Parts: sequence; C-alpha cells; structure tokens
Amino acid sequence: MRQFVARRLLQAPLSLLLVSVVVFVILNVTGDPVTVYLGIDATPERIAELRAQLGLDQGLPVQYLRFLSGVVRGEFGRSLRYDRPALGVVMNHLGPTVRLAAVGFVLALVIGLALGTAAAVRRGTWIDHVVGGFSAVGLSIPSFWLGIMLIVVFAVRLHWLPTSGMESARHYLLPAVTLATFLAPQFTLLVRTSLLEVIHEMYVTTARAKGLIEARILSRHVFQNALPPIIAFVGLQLGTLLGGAVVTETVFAWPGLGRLTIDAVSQRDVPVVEAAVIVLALGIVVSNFAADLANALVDPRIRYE
Amino acid sequence: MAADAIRLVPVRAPRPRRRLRGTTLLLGLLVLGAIVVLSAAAPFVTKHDPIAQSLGDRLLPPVWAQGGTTRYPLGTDGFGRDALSRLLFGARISIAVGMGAVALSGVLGTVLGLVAGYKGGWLEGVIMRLSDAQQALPPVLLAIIIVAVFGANIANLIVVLAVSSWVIYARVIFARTVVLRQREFVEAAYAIGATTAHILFRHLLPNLWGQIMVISALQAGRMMLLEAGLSFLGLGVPAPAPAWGSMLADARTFVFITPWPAAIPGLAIVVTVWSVNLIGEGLRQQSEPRG
Repeated sequence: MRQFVARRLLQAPLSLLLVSVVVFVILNVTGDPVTVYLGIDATPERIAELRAQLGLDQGLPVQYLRFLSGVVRGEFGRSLRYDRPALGVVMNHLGPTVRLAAVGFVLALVIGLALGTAAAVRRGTWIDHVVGGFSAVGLSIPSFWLGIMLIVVFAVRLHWLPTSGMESARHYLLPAVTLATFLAPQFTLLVRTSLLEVIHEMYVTTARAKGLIEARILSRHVFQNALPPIIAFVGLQLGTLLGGAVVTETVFAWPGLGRLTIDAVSQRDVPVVEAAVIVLALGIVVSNFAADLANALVDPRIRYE
Repeated sequence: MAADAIRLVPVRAPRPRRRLRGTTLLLGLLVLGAIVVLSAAAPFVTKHDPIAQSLGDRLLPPVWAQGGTTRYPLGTDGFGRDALSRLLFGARISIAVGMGAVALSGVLGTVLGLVAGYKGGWLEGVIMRLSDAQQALPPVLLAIIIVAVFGANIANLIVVLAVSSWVIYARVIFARTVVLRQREFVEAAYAIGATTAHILFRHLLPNLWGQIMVISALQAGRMMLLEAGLSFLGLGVPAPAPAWGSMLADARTFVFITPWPAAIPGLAIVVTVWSVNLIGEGLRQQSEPRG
C-alpha cells in the first residue's frame, strides 16, 4: 500500500509540470499577448513597459523558469484586466463553479446509480431498453442547447424559474439539471456494465444458492465488487465535468471559473488563463489521486498491481 | 463455467438479445446516411443560399407553426437567412470536423499506444505520462486556448479536437498491445527478423481494428458535440459559415421572441450525434462475446 501511494504521489506533480509546459508554450510562444492586449495604437513605451512587467523581454527558458517558480509559490502575476493578483481572481470565481459542479455531479450520480442498477438487474427487459434509449439520447444532447431550451420553457414561458443568478436554491436548478443531463447517461451506462460484469460471478450464484435475499446479494456481493471501475470513472470525469461547467456557465451567466477563463482567453489575460488552468489541473490530479486511493482501499488486488 | 452456472438459475436468466443486435447499428447507419445524403445534395434540396440575408423575412417560424410559409420550411433566423439550407450546409461542417478529428486522433493515439505497448521502457514512460498530463486538462479548455491562439478554421478545429482526444485511443491500444505482445505470432515474427514497424502495423494493428472502430464511432459523437460547443462559444468556423453551434449562439438573443431558430439546430445536433452513437453502440454489441 505504501509503495502504491508513493508511486502515485510521484506521478501527480509530473502531470502538473507537463501541463504547465504545455500552457506556457501555447500562450507565450505562439503570440505576443502584449500587442493583442494593448491593441494597435499602443505607444512603444507602453508596450516595452508591459513586456518588462510580464518578463517577456527575457529568453524563453528564463521566462519558463520564472513562470514555474511563480506557480510553485502561487504567484501568477497580476491580471491585466482586473489589475489584481491573478490567483486571487481565479479563487474568487472558483466557489460558484465548485458549488454548481457538486450539485450537478451528485444529481447525475444519483440518477446514474438508480437507472444503471435498474437496467442491470432487469437486463433484457423493457426497463433495460428504455434506460438504454434514454442514455443514448442524453449522450447526444449538447448541454448549451439543453440549457437554452430549459430557459425557454421554465423561465420564459412558464415563469417558474429564474434565467440567471445564483442567490437561492431555485437558481441552481436549471444549471444543475443541464450539467447532470450531460453526465448522468455516462454514469448510467457505466454502472450497468460494471454490475453486469459482476452479477454473473460464481460468488453471486453461491450467495443466491445459499438463500440470501436479492437486496442483500446486490448490496453486499454485487455492489462492493462493481465499485472500483465506478470510482475510477468518477475521478476521471472531473475534467469532463469542469469542461461541461464551462459551457453551462456561459448559458446561465454563472459567475464561475469557466466563464472567467473563456473571457480571459479571448482578452489574452495570460496570467488569469495560466492560473485558472493550473488550478483546474491541480483539482483534477488530486481527484484522480483520491479515486486511485479509494480504489486501493476498496479492492486489495489493486494495491499489489 | 460461469455461463453454465447461470443456466442453473431459472430466475431471470439473461435472455439473448440477438434480435436487437443488428437493429441498433442499422438504425444508426440509416439516420446518419440520410443526413449525409441530404447535406451532400443540399443545393438540390433547397434553393436558398445559406448565407444570403433577406431582412424582410426575419425570424419566420417553421411551416407547421402559426405564420410559417412553405418558402422557408424551417423558418428563418435573425438575418432572414433560410434555416433549412443553413442546417444542411452546416451538416457538412459538423460531419467534416467530426470525421477529420476522429481520423487524426485515431492515428495519433493508435500509433502512440502501439509504440508504448510494444517497445515499453522510456518510450512507454514518456507517452503514458503525457497522457496523464492530458487528462489533467479538460478537453474543452485546451481546445478553447488553442483555437484562441491559432485562430479557427476547419483544419485548425480538426487538429485541436484531435490533440485533445487522442488519449482514449492510446490507453486502450496500449493495454491491448501489452497483452498481444506476448503472443506466439508476435514472437515468431520477431524471430524471423521482422522490423518493429512490420510487427506493429502488419501483426499487431490487424488485431486491434475492432477496438479502434468501436472507440472511433463513440468518439465521433463527442467530437461533433465539442465542435458545436466551440462554435457556440464563438470559437468555431468563423461567421457567416452556417455551423450548427454558431446558429444556436445567434438564435440565443431571440429566444424571448421565438424559440424556433434555437430549437432547430439543436435538434439537428441531437439527431446526428445520436445516430453516430447508435452506430458506436451497435459496433460495440457486435464485438461483444455472444451469449
């Protein structure tokens, strides 16, 4: 177990290091943020000043090392747009995104577990087919379109729910449903597959043979053994979830990290983009690590891989 | 053994789904085929130019709704452009970008997966760590950054989507190659002096086609959704090209007046991606062991 944790702990920072290189190269080598940001009528003095402020007057390796040492200390420079430390700007927008993502995620997980279990237990019946059909359609719905249509129906037509804002629980409903629709089919299909893989194992037959009731077989023998792929997938879906949140936030004018990042990219606010990407990547790496760890705890076989 | 044991249990023994196996694939192929044919024949299906504006005919509803006319069967957008012809020409963009991205990411991921799985050692380390790093970046985010920097056109979009999605191929192919590498036919090829490239592409690759096809079909839908998402965010093929995502983004302003210009391109995306997903699911069922 200790060895397993140590190996994973060594790999995690490596991923982050690579992410930092990729982001740095894309943002700094391919174009000059200063000219884009200041526009064509900027004076040469102003350009030189901003270049010096951002450290762009030095060689690329030096720039990268400065960037990296800043990342380690949590300093990404000042946001060009907000004129505040970029990390602070990102952190201010992190809360709304995490809250929205968490609500959508839990919703999707509950739906996925319920429908996936129903489909697996009643495999081959109409329940299975209906669940499969719904998942196939759900997987095909673009979340931004669903969001707009939900707004049309529930806000514009019926006046039941607000179109944007996040003051109360009612404001969370439409964005969370939008986000969940995009994740729930994936959970459903995965839960169904993982359960079916286990449901035919000998120990399940044995449990049935010794007369256990179905509910107990399901909870003790099937679920526990079907858990590892589900946990791993949940960990890996965090990136997709955050990606989905980016688009969903745009539709509902949600003041979160996704919206901030898109604006920062189009305005070439490089420090904010860098800070946002590193913070998101850190979140994903940590959640993958947590998923691996949870798996190793649930399933002893993984520890000795 | 497990299968035998199940037959002893009369309660709820899994029924073979043989009858449904072919239908999923067939339905998907039919729907997607119809979309491809319609978009290829777009100039014959509709007489309207997809980017010609007719400001007197703005925001007309489709023919079945009140106020619709047969001149514009699916209505018009905020510039009075014909929704049907924009939809049909937009299908070309969606399909071209989707297929292109799948092909490119498939080649990239498959080659990397093969090399990592067969050669092992430091190459495996580098490729697998790269894929770890890739997974720490949400694909949408990576695509947004790359498009913003390099600009958007069909070729760039294909590259962007491929770069953000090769990992799934690399992972699956890697896992399979590690197993296949130890089989006799690979050892035999190595023993008679076959080159690495020969073993990779003539001996290992043919055994992986099934997997590659299944992933590709499932990825194609994702690529189309990503493309639509980028267009929606204003990072797709530039206006006035009729990409479905940008049709939706344009229509957003008018949803308080009329929902049709937003509803119709969205439905087109759903139906197209759904048909592609059906093909993927159909292929997956075919490749599953029977019983």
